[in-house]
Amino acid sequence: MIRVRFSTSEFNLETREWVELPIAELIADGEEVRISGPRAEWISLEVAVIDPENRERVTRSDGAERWARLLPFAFRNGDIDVEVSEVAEAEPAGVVFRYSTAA
Amino acid sequence: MKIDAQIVAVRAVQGTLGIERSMLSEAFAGPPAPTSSPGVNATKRLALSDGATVFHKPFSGVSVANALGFGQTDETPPLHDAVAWRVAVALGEPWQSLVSPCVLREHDGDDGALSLQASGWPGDLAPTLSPTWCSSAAFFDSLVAQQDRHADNWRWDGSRLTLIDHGYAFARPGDILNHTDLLVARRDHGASALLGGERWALERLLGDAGLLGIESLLLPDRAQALRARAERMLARGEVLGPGEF
Repeated sequence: MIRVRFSTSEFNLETREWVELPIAELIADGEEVRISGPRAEWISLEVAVIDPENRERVTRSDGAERWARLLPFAFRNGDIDVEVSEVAEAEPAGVVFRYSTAA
Repeated sequence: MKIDAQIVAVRAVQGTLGIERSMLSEAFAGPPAPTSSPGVNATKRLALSDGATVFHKPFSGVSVANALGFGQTDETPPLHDAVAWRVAVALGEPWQSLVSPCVLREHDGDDGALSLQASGWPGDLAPTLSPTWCSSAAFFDSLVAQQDRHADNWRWDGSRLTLIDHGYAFARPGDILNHTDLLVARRDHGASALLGGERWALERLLGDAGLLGIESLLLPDRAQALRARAERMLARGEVLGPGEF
């Protein structure tokens, strides 16, 4: 199971510190993808990613976990921080949208 | 670096606009935002003393495997970010307002591309349905051979579209295409034909021996590919097909 956390941050000019703002958490479990979070709609699940290992174009339907691992390559400009980790079990979430790659 | 001449050329022309002067002269306010993962291209989020948020993509931090996968080099993505902005400035409106401003500037001893944060949010498909925004963006992406334009590589604030991340642009014939969603949308709407302002912009670009100064900012094969695309667009009277670099 792969967990992908998306976040951004804002600079507070008074405190001169960055404040992290969560966007969404995506869980790829087998062929199923779940996404939740305050700005989950910002993350397109239709994005394809070029696998740098073999130049293959990978979509969610090519394997949810493989696709999820590659997601950092879709967010390169620094605006959205993408953290990928392997997890044993998904944590409960509030509002969750479920997408399946199964036909 | 193999692109030293192009970097020198970009530095020589940037700073003509007020926004560029601010991005070049304002001090960095504090450290970069902490990041939980180094990410692709080791891009840093920074604040300028005037309150603007900017992103610094260092030449030394390019994800080499990813860049090579797109047919780029280990140096070209930050250069192409800056040159895409120069193309937008050279073409004028509406393209200048459509592209996130970008300059080459050092941060913490690292040279790289410094891009201004765009207003709005990612992931919104509204621009694909807006004839005005979609047409202008598709023309630009077709001309600069954008290789990866998807909904997370633009920002929409409800009334304005901004194109971000041009590291994987200025592709050459045969280079890989991942997404060009705005170009696909324009063609799907049956609006491939060039508009009057687009034709005029291409005529101006091709009417100048140095492509309005852009030729010297790109590696020769990529400048030649840009010229060839502009000629094809003008000859056919339409934006090019997806992946037609």
